[in-house]
Amino acid sequence: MDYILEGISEAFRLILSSDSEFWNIVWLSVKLSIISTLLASVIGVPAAFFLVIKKFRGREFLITVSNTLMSIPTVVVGLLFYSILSRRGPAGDLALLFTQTAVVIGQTFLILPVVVSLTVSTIRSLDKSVSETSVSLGANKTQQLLMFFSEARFGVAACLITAFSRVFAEVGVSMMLGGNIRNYTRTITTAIALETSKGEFGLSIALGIVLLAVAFTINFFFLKFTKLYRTVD
Amino acid sequence: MFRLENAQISFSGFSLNSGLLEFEKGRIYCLTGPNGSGKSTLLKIIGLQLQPDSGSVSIEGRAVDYGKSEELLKNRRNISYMLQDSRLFYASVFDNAAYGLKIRGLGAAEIKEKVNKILKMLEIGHLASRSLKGLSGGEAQRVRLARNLVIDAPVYILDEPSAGLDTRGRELLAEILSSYNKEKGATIIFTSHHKEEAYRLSPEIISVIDGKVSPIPRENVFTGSAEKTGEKLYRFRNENISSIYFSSDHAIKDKVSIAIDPEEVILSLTNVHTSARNCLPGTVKNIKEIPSALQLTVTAGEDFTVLITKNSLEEMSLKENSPVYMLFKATAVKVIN
Repeated sequence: MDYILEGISEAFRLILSSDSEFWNIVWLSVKLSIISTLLASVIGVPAAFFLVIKKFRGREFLITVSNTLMSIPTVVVGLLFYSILSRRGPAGDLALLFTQTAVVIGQTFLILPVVVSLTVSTIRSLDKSVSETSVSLGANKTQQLLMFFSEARFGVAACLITAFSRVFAEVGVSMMLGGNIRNYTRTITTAIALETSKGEFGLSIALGIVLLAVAFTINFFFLKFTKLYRTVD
Repeated sequence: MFRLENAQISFSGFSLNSGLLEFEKGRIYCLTGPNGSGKSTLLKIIGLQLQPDSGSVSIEGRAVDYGKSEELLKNRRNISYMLQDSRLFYASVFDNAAYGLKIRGLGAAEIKEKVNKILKMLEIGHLASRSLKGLSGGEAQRVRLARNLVIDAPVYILDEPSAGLDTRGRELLAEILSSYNKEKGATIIFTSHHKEEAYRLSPEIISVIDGKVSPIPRENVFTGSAEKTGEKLYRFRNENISSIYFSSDHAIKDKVSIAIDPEEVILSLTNVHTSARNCLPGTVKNIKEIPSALQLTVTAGEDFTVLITKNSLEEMSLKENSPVYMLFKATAVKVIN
């Protein structure tokens, strides 16, 4: 029992300290998650709009594939890109394995389906009222579309927050593609896994607390922000 | 101005046929009927929001071509159309109200002036910079109204514009609509649940029941109570009229307004037994010549308007104060609400 209490007190000491290794780990996690979320949104959001607006054969199939991939285990993505990026793999010459770039690639792939599927369902749930109302007020095709994007903005932002949360908390991809290299690819989750196996509870608990705090802060501010614009009560 | 000829639309077990329906420039029309009767659908067809499956809609004598999107857009922009429960956008009250003007390409200064003016008229000027959060249902409805009424259009089509408004709001709405009609000659077509305010605008009334559309003559409108006397048969009475039988497919609550088409009333000098269920004794009060017919006012408790030809008048040698019987079928009586 004592080791847990010791761990907790060590955790608070670390959080209140300026321990550079500890804060480097936190910063790297945040940085990589932001980059992969941005990349996934740049690809995924337009793809989702395309899937909703354009009618073509195989559209529903693509959406179903995306929905299925939403729950892909992180280690499977890790395994997939490990085999591609490892020296014997098809992209082995790029020497990307165990780099931050590899982690970003894997994480982007991991959350791309999350961004696509959630955005698709958000846009669909916007229902007909957006276009019906803009048409009734005299909007042309372009103006209708612009209003549609504009009304979708909070819903899409919520999808991106969910995607960020998933990537920020994942461990499989970071571990397999980053390799948990100290001061280079060690993220919060990989560090927790390593430190716990070494019996270093203090650092693990501290990182766990920070992980939760970051997730909470982001969600809290997002909620505040959207409430400002929420429609009539 | 608008002319609908058997514009028909069907979806999921519901079907609506406009019959022949004409809307004249500069007049006010009110569509009445129970919920789900097809009022909104009919409004959408008139307002070019919905293309009928068959039949035609024409504006100023030209049939609307739904395939020509530019022409359609131009026609739509001549109408300020307010959907029932239209969506308010994630934006400030001002920006919501300004939307119709923005997409019509008006300049910022002009938009500002017009929007502020209409917000003031609707007594929500102080809300201009507010987001929608915290607005009451009534305030939100005023924002929707502002968004439509700020548009300078020859036609306003408003689906339940007074829904959710308080008494003051309904008064303001009636004042504005009345002034648009009188000063700008705007044509106004709307649906409403608030009869008092609606009828204050003295609109032409069009009844929509189960997808069937029938313009109701403004003559011979009486309000009173109804009691069921048989299958689909009711007896109407008020303090001046002891009984008028009418039929209705719908259950009638005790209070009811009815209208009788003057052309459906037959005059007789004697109390004859016919298939017409109603036979009311009365006295000719007034005879007036109108184009192609004579318009008689017959007093039978209340004043009834009846149309007959010149020949009939002469044959029956009717004069003022002549006693007559008015005969009409139970089906000639239209229920307004």
